[in-house]
Amino acid sequence: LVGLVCHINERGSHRTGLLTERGLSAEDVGRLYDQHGPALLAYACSFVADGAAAEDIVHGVFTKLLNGRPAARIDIPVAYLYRAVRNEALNARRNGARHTQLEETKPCFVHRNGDREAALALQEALHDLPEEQRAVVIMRIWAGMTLDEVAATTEVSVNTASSRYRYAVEKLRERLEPYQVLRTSIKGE
Amino acid sequence: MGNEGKSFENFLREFEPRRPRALPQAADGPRTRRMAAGIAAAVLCAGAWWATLQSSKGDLLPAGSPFIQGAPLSTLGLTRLALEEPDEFDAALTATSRESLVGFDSSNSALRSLAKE
Repeated sequence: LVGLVCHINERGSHRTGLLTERGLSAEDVGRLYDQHGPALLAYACSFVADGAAAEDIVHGVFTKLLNGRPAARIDIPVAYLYRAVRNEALNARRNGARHTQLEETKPCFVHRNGDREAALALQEALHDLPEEQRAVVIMRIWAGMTLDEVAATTEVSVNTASSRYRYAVEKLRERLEPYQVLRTSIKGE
Repeated sequence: MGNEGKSFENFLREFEPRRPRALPQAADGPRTRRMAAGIAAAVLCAGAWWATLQSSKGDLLPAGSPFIQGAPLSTLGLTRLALEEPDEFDAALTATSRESLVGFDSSNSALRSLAKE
């Protein structure tokens, strides 16, 4: 009997070992979720317009990680998360993700002063960026990662990450300048 | 990146991505389910072992068994005895009747008086 229980527990820990062997406990997953969840949601939103679908994607990726069923080997957890979210988002899009109007969906971004129009414009502008630039700008601005970290995560050189970031910011600025000017003038009044 | 770039970065930071809903608790995960399954299996095994022990008590009656000494037997034990050891079964019934039926060998027994009549 004791042997049976031991066998069951042994099998259980062997399976969860998928996480522990790679240095990711449930606590680590929770910490990653707190730190990167919002930025990953923004990233998912740049693929699927529907905020609720994007949230399901991020949630699903983390739940798999919690249950010890990651689809791929995890060397750099953040890199894995971005890769997994991207893959799931592309699958969702391919499998006929809802073509809802952006205005009708759950917003992915919230502006500090409640400028919903600017938030939607940002989401659209991110969606229109090339994929690699989009990831870099989200990691840098909303995940608070350094360019070195971004480079390591996206597996490119720091120079490449840096130039991708510059291009991305420039394109976003072209699209969002009217909103920025508006905010500056409101602040100035 | 110049001042304009920095200022635009700050503008971008005015937008906050929505926080996704909370993750399910790790305690609800498969580890807990496996532990619960392990405990359930342990309880089942213990129950089965106890039941076997109880039924085997009265299965066969070796010499000097509790039954011969007047201890009660389970129905299963009696059935097996009847099938496998008819003599023992008769002895067991006699012993049981002695234990449970009214005796008529005492001096003032009504049954003894009736028997005499």
